[in-house]
Amino acid sequence: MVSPAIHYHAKEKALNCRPANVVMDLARLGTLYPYPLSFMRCLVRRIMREKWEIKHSIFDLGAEGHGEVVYQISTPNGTYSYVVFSKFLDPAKRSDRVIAEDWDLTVTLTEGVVDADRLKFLRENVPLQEMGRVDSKCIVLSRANKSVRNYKNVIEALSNGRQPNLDEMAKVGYLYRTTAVYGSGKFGMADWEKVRVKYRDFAQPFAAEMFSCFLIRQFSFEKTDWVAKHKAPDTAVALDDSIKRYIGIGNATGLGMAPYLINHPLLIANWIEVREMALAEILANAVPTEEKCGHFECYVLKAKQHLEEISTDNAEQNIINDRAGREITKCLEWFNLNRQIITDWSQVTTHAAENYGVETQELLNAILTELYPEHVLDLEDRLNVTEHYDMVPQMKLSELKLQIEEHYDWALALDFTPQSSLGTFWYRSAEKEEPRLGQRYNEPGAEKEMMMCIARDVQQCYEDVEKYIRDAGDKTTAFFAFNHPDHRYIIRRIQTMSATRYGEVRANLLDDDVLPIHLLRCKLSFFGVGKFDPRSKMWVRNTMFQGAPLISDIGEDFGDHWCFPIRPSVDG
Amino acid sequence: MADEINLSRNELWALLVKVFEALFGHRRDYYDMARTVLWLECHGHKGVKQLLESLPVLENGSLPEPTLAEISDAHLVMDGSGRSLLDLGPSLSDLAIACASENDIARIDILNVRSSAALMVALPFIARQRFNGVAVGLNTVCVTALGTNCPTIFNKLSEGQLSLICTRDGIDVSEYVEDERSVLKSVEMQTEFFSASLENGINILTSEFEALKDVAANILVEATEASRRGAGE
Repeated sequence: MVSPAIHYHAKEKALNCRPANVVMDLARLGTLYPYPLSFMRCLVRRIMREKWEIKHSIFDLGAEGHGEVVYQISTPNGTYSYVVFSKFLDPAKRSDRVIAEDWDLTVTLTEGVVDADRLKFLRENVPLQEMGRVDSKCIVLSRANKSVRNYKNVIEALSNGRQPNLDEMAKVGYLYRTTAVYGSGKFGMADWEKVRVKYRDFAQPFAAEMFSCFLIRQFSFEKTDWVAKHKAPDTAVALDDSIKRYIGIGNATGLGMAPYLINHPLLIANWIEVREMALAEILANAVPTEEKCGHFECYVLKAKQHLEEISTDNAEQNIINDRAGREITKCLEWFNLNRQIITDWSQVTTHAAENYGVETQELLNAILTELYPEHVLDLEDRLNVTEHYDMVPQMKLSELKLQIEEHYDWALALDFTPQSSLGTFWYRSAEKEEPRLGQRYNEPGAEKEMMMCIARDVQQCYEDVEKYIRDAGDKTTAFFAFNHPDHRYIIRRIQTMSATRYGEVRANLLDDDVLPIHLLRCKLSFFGVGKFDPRSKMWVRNTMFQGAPLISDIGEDFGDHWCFPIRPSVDG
Repeated sequence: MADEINLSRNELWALLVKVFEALFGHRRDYYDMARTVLWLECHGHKGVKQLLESLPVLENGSLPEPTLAEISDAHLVMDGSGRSLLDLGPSLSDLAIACASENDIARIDILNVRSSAALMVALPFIARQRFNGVAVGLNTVCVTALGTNCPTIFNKLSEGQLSLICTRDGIDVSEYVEDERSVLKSVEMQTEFFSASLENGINILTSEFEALKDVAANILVEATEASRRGAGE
């Protein structure tokens, strides 16, 4: 008796996927790299394949780049508008935090063509972000701030007739960074279910949110060119296209993303399973032909350069990047020495598992998925999953107990006796409900903690199940849950997740030493985000769409090879 | 209308989760309680209004836990101890399905509860588990067949006991309903309401929205300098 689960085809079931105890380890999840099924990669392939038409319907900016721009987007399935409000922001108010109340620019993606009335409504609400109200025709609401240093340098260079200094550009990699991207019905917007059914162009996970970031990037180029031109009409040049492609859109991600991973375990388990299936398929069936081996070498060299070009002040991240760069170089040397005897890629991954760190292992895995789109891209449609965490009330307690022992052995093995194992608690602050971490024994608020420690809840449930069986016999889960309503949620979750291949993220998120940043990077890798720049253990800056094609590239030949972006050769 | 606010389903859902978390902490399955109210609201049964009317009961921490008497393997009696069915409803559907799985039919008679209209929310879950279900309310009888997401709602013949029936076989409702053709709310009506809630969102009174937000605010921890450090720079 099992709860509704993901059903596998026989071929998929036979795939030798890596075990959950390896894959779901939080520290490993915190080393994942983007790969061809990352959401922004899927989105860009779609835009390029379907030749989306993206043009201005309004372009009304002043000399400083403040004003309004509306992009009209025509796809095979519909028409949308992307509305940008750009303004002067008092530097004292510029903040990446969710608690900020003013931004350089605010945007929304909305259904259909925007007329004057609609624009007025959006103008009155979008710049207010959380304090405004939009409606069910809006799909995404977002905002972004300038990278002040980069923006100023680029304007300065362009207005003087030269391209910006790429050494400086490379340190940041973007002109604007988003500080929040809202979708899925927030503030009155269209529900995900409506997006999935009605706005088919954005029916893949986070596609609309990714598209919004893609267009903020586009706007950042247009605004920069515009301002430079108005500053020095006689001397200004436009930013070179190859530099534009190298520039991404920045992003700052904090703790808010972590509860999402814990509250949507089916979704996360599915994303991870799809990734692992792609890898398993390659390890089982992809042949290392001479051509593929050559591509492998190119990707390794590109990845190495990419790592070398990441600029972060975080000493630990620098050590990680350096080590991965060195190890992947060693791996390439080993590969070239043994090329004649390598008959399948599992020889490479086994060598990596035995000789290199986890970061390097996952980097190699990502490279393998880049080598074989023919084994990967068919899985794109599998990224969506409908989340139901239904109770299986007729399940006998003995079976539930067995499920816990089999699928949550890792949770039962955790020791919650030391104070330090429960030293952290997660809560929502009265300030914009921002998720925060507290020290349980030193700070107030633990009585209002969020449900973030699945392992502890499973342990407590397990102990009560054992006792109930001893006292009342092997009754059904329904009777147990009636008498222990505090366990009903975790029972539904156990029953649901036990039917998946990968189950839960394996970690004690209440430990003194918890590193939420691993959760953030895991999710961001599925978005397709790179260049992680941890600012603390609780938030990270990163770059999206670096290396991606431009809107002006739509309709041109497109190779889906913009992973591991590296500096172009053009320079000021 | 000026005194209404339009919410997306997800927005209302998130708010309801916070409301029930604020009311019960981790002592209850607050996600499924929220799902109960959301289902009612999205199918035209004024879930938010029922929730707000039940607030005094839901907030009453001194009410005893409900009790269960087993008349037979297939017949239970639950005394709700004055609690709301918004709180107890999910457990009732669990019990009904569990008993019907073993006996092909189950009946739970329900005593001493509030918000009896919430009983119908057990039916979609029962139907998803491949059973037929009847929710005999105070004034209505709700009937669902397996695989359907909404019940057909009839006027009840006479006032009487609340019961939830779950069975593998077809159900004869003539015992409870005067005229089976006299449908109070059809599946189609509710489905239409549900579709509209997805397309256009859900309107609730601003005063109701504010009342829910007030309750939900109890999950928030006051901001301090120390807490700001707990979120990054």
